[in-house]
Amino acid sequence: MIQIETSNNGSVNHIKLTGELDISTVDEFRQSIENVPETTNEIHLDFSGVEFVDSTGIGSLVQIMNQLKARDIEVKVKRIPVEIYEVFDLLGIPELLGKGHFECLK
Amino acid sequence: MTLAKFKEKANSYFKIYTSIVVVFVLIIFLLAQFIFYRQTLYEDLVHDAELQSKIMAVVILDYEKRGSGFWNDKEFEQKIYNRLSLLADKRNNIVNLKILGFNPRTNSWQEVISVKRSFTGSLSSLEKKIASLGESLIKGNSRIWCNGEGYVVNGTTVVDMGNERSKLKVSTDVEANKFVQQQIWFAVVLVLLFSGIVIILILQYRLFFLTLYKPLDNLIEGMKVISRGNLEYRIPVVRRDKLGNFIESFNNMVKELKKSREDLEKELSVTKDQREKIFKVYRDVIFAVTQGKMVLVNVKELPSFINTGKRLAEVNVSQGEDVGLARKVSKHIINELFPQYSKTQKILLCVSEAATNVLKHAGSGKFFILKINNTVRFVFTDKGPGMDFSHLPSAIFYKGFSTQISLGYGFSLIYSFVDKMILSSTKNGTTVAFDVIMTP
Repeated sequence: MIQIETSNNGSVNHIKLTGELDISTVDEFRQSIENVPETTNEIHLDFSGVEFVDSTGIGSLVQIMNQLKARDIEVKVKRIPVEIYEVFDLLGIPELLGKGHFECLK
Repeated sequence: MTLAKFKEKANSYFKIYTSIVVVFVLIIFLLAQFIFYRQTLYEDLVHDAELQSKIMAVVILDYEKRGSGFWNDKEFEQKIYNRLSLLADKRNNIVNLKILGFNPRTNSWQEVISVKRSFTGSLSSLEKKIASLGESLIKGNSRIWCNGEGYVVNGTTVVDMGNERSKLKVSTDVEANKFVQQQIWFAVVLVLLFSGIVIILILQYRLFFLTLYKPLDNLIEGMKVISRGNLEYRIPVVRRDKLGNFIESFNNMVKELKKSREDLEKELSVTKDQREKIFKVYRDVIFAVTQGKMVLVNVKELPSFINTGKRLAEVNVSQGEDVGLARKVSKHIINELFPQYSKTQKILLCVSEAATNVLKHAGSGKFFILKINNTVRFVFTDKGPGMDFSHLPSAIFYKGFSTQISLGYGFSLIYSFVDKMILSSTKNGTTVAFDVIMTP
């Protein structure tokens, strides 16, 4: 179960996720990001409401970030809960995509 | 097929067909000759009968001229009878002579005198049957008929007695039994000859096909048996010709095939043993390097690992939502049994990874939880195509994302967290189980 709220603030697109990101919700998640307007330069993903994420969820996130990078859209994952960030860390994602893109909730 | 063989085969066919054609032409020739011969004989017979009636007419006229007179005269009858007996020989035996006078008033012939003599020969009952059959077969204006006693041919002569009004007709029935008999036996011989030839031809023809096709049938039957996998079977070789040679070569081929199959089976069992040994070594190495954390088990050992402890819950994993359900069930059990435990989130991550792998690699499978003292074992079984153990070391020892594609990158996540991991995989399915010791 996942809830996705999208709000547009100029060239920055805010997407807030609430719920779990796994094999049953990755398609919905992927679609919501692919549907951002063409004028978007930057996407801010708010992860504060994310209760669970596994390698499938993170895999799709990495894929999307790589695709958007090719379209010159920067993605920043913000307010990641500590437990969720640990999973990112275990998989070595911050090292792979750049630590600047991920912001952990302290 | 080489040209020479083709010629040979064509030659044998040609021989058979020409012999058949020649025989038929001969038969037709014989038949035509018989019909011609019969016609001549018949015409002769009729001609003879006519001649007889003419002779008798002359004789009767002679009697009449001498003035002996004949009307209702017994003596005259006797005279005629004697005359007939005198004339009679084997070919010309008049059995019935009639003198008819013309009656101008009724404009019809009236019988005046009738003299009968007995037949010299008679037909047997078989001959009579054949003759009547022949009569019904050859209909037409034949002048031979059966008068009850035997077959006769009629000759008739009309004599003018000087004036218009008195005419005399002499009708003679000449015995034709001999002729009919001859015809019958000639026809019988011809039929026998004809059927004999036909039977011989048919036999020859049958024999030809039998000698050619019987071994071919054997061959085809044998090939069927062998193609069903019975390499013990040998096609019987009954002929010492090209077909026999062929069957012999075929049998040899089957023998070779059997030998190579046995070799292959031997090789295969050696390979199997070898693989078993390699697996054991591999298992020991993996066990040692992981300090007992990673246990590879074969199918026989598996039940002792998953049919133990207390089974707490079971979830069928067949769609995306089931992954969430597996986590929910796991979370509930951990909270119930070990409320003090603090790393539940990590266990849920492992459950999620394992369940996702089941979905991705096998399509569906089963997840259940076992409690063994203060250890909880999470078991995932599926009937998928199995996993390749050769990727195991990289999955275990290289942390990171990009190297983990082949086993699913969740694999290293599970390994890094759990206390023990049990793995069993064949081409019929995979079982992944992991233990977590529940110390707060």
